[in-house]
Amino acid sequence: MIFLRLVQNEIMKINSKRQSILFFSLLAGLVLITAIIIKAYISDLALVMNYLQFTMLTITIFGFLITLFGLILGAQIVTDEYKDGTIKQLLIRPSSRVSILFSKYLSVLIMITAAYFFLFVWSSLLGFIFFGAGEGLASAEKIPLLEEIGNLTFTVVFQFYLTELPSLFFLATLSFFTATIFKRSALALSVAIIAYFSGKVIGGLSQNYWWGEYIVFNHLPLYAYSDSVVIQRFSSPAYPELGLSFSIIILVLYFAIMLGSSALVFSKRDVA
Amino acid sequence: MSNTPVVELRNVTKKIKGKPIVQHLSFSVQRGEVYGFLGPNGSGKTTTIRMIVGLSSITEGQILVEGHDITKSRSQAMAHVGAIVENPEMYGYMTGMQNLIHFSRMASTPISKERIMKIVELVELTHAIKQKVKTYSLGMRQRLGIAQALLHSPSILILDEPTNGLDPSGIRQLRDHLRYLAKQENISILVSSHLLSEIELMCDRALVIQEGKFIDEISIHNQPEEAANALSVEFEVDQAAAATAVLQDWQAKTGDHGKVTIMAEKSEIPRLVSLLVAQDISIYQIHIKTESLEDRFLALTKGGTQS
Repeated sequence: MIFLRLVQNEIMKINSKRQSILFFSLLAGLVLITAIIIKAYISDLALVMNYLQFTMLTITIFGFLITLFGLILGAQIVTDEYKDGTIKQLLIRPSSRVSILFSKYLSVLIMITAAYFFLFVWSSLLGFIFFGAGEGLASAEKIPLLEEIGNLTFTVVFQFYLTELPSLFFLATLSFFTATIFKRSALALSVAIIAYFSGKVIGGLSQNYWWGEYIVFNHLPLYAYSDSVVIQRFSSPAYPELGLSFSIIILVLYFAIMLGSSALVFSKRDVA
Repeated sequence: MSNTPVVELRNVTKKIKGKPIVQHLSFSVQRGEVYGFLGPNGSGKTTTIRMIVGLSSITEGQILVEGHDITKSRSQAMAHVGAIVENPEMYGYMTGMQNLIHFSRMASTPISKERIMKIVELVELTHAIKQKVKTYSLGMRQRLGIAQALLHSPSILILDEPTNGLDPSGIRQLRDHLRYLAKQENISILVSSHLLSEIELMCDRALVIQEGKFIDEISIHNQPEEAANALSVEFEVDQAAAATAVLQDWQAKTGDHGKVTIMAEKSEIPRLVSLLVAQDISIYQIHIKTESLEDRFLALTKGGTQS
């Protein structure tokens, strides 16, 4: 019970900050502008598009903004308390340090999920208003990707959104972990952004060695295991023979190590 | 009502990188008293307070709050503690009310809206509670800090250097406030300071530490009675040597400029005067040297490392 109240507190703090209000307004505004531009200037596209395709389009264009938001939250949620000196106010209370830390972590994940949900709902709504729910792009050619995009279903689009989450959760956790250990939000953000951009390259290079199969970046795109061409996003599993469950185990291990060491450091540290 | 101390330190030692910051410190704060914690800057006061509130680990020894060991049953112990460690840091981007709701959610037992409003009234912030904390003056922040520390009706309020950064009128207000609150809410207060005058005005008892070591525990309100037994009395006379001879039974010491210092009870003074007069010694001045707490503090800390 008290843990839920801690999460409630963290979410209240995140949403009271100006940056969160700015982020959500920016996201809403950009989606609206995109819809207007397509409707007004790209009429060919507007004619053949329905709300599902529009919703797919917005995540492809603006997904990185949510990633950035998630990484900033992960980097700041602990370090800001140190910076403002409010960390003392949190740690002199009955809740254990570990539950305070995890309430913060959970709040970051909730906010990231909420941001995706917001983008999904807002895009669908605007998509419906601007482009309706009629027939989508009808493709004459028998290319599987185009065919599937032409016949998008609500379920596929929703799954497309959901499958963005694991790798974003990983990056946010990396940011959170680095920030908790080193108490430096700039460092945490840099590490996570580097991982975001170079993860695929590092993964690809490591596949030349035997230990490549233990590198998290080779297992992060879980969507590669999907049957849907759309959800796969042109990727295939790095180690198809190891299977989905092996990838999940590797991911869980990385999460456990990062969260475990964060908790250990955070609960032992003297607060000056 | 139990007689267990509200806070008790047993032989507490804190070492940072092998260097002792606090050494074998023991003391206890009784129910309802205002206990001072006095020492020059860098003497280990803040470190000790950080250990009591669980911000720092304890190298050796034991700290009990309401009988609960703070390392073994932290949650029960902390439920009784309200504290402001150094500055009253709050979330500036939220309103005073949001800050209080935030801290009330962290209490181990639910705190009602009425309770929050009562505390807000008690610290006289009703008019500003819906404003963002970043617009508050230091005095208002200080009072909001006290409010968050009192929300859960703690049995001990711990304040680390509460008057730092306040102007004299602010200090006075805070002091009056604390004494009033201690009465209203019937709680013990542990207050640290490097300013002796503060401790003298606020506290019933005080602990003096220096370089992390126990120096003395002083009882501030009992001080005049204690001193009544053997007062240090200074006579200024024309013939110091003769006077010293007359008063040698009272450990007379000859000082400069015809001054003679003796140890005597107050009631004896008239008799001593007549003794001197009988010897034809002229008395210009008699002065009882009341030892101020300041003198005692400086004597205890050997002049102190105070800057």
